Amino acid sequence: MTITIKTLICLLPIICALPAYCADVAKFKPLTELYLDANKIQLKNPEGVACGKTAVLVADTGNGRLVSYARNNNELKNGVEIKLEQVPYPIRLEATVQGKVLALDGKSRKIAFLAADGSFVSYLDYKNVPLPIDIVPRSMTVDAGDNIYVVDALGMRVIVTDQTGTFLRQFPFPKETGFISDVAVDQRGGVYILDSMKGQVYKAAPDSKLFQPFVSGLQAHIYLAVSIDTDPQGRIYLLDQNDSAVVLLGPDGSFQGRYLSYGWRAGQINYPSQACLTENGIMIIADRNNSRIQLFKVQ
Amino acid sequence: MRIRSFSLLLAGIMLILLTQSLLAATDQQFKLKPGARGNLCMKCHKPFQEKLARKFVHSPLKKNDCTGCHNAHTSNHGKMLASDSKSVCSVCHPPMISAKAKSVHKVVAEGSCMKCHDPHAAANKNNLVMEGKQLCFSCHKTLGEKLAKIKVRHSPVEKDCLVCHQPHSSDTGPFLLKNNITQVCLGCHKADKPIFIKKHMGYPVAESRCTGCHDPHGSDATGLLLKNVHSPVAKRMCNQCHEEAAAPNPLKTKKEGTTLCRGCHNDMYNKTFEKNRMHWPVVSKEGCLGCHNPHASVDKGLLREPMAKLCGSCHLDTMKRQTKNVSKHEPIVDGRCTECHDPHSSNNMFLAKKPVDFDLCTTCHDWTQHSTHPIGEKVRDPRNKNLSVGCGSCHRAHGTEFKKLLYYPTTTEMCIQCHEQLKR
Repeated sequence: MTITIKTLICLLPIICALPAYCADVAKFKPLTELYLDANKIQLKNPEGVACGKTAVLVADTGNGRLVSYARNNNELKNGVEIKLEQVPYPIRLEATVQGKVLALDGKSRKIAFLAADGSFVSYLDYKNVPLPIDIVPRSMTVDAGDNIYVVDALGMRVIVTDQTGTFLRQFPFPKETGFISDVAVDQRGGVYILDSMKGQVYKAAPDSKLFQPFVSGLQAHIYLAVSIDTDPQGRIYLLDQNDSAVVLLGPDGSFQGRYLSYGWRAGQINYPSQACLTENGIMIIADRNNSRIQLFKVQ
Repeated sequence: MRIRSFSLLLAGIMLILLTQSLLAATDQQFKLKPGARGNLCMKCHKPFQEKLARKFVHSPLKKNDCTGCHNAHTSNHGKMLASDSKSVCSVCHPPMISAKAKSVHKVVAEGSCMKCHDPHAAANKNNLVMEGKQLCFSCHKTLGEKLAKIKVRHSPVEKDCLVCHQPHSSDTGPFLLKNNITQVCLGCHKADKPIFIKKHMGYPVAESRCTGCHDPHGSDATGLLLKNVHSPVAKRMCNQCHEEAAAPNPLKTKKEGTTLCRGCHNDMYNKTFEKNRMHWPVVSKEGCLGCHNPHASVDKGLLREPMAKLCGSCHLDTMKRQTKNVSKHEPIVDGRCTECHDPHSSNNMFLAKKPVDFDLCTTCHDWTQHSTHPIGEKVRDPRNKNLSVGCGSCHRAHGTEFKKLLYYPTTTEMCIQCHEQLKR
């Protein structure tokens, strides 16, 4: 069988496109699972996870505590228990650029600043925020400049403050939204909010004050997503809590795939509630109803 | 005006004459026997004569024109109709749904004209198959049954549904109403009459939605009030929540959101907020009013809608899952969400009333009657060392596409998930 030059020329576009096609398809390779802290105490319904540069902090919600694991490449070790009376029921965490961690407490509905070792520093004290004065944070994130973005369930807006809590700006939720559960900021400063109820993602461009529909009709791929993250390539990761999966969207909002599945075994997830991404492409998932933390290499 | 009417009449006559002359020309062309468009049909379809004796006969039939709707030779549609039964009426009749319709009768949207109209003849005007409200209640059975039982029926309901509703579609109101809800009511109940003002404690309710308190069809309560009435409303103590009737803004509430409700429901408020997990709508902008009607409701607990519909309006995914269920979990089928969940707050996962899942499930299910499989905190799940074996290890409370709420299609497949050594 001889391959003529003509045949090669015909196949050239396909051969050239193949690596690009393969690069777009992600793989979630299970790395490891964490079940215990350093004292062999089992995790119980962990709901939050924050990826720091040298440590990963876990909100061990069912035990009403935090657990700090030392991070060394793809491994998490030790697992130091941190019990804080100021954060008795942590439900969501977010690492800041400066190495602190923001912790949302489900009971008091306050956001706390924690030091890198997990010790309590202070609560986020909002200053000069426009009415309504009462703020009910549902979730939070930080941008590259360490400004804090808070999803305010009561004021139906995203509030942006600096690290001292001083108000910088706000984005009202679009009128047609169902329930906004999470916020993410990409590296260019684009702000995304996730409407869990309607399966939609809205985006505010870096120079905009308003959210515009970005992706809709996700109900075909998602039951109830609760967490949104972006990676340095601008891809968007949605965590489908009620049908236990990760849904990947391209930077343009195009559907790229649905990964992982419901189950109890290693590599399967069960009502995951938050995920974070490390700089070396590892996704750490708070696998809530499996009472564990799982690490996946995103390829 | 007269000139316009005359012109229209003239145009109508001209149209009829033109149609008849065209038909006559076609009849000649196809050498049709006299009466081939209708009279001849009756020779075979004899029982049809009985229909023609009815008071109201469809105009084509009156002219013995069966071929307007039926094809005498062949058809792709039932009853030899010239076109699909859903569109045959629209050949002559203009569309019954306008482009700006706010509400449309489902049967009209489906093109099921014949559910209400007899295409040939009927004893009732407009060829209706039944008279007045009897026709409506033949489909709206629940409403008919309810009205048969209740003490006080709204007088227009006794007469005809069409006093308030349009039969096909409405450009102005929801529920096929002839206008928006309040305007329909004010058509009869004048808001400036002293009795109206007195009954509403002097509050300017002419702009309010009347059905927030009243059942427009009928009720067992005086004033056609809905079944469950908020205590201050029942006691006519509107000023408990609203500004005084003489105030510049009388309908304004004295406090905002949940703070207002807390004034009376303080114990519930404290119980709700002392727990770890909050149902997010409770702390949202709408607060209590996201789920409750502050005045009155058909449903217990002053819910805005029946529980399943209310919960399902946000938990769309849970409702979606229900549709796939083979075995039905009774509280879910009945829409009794609060049987297992606390709608305000809880210390348990899924806002469950008791810890998930053994404690919760055994509230209704007697474990000892179920099986002898070891269960409980001490029995570890071989698939995950942090989990113990519980009801949720095999069953999904909200159901699956398999029998007995199981995660897998067969019991064997379910068992070998843990008992791998038995796998064949």
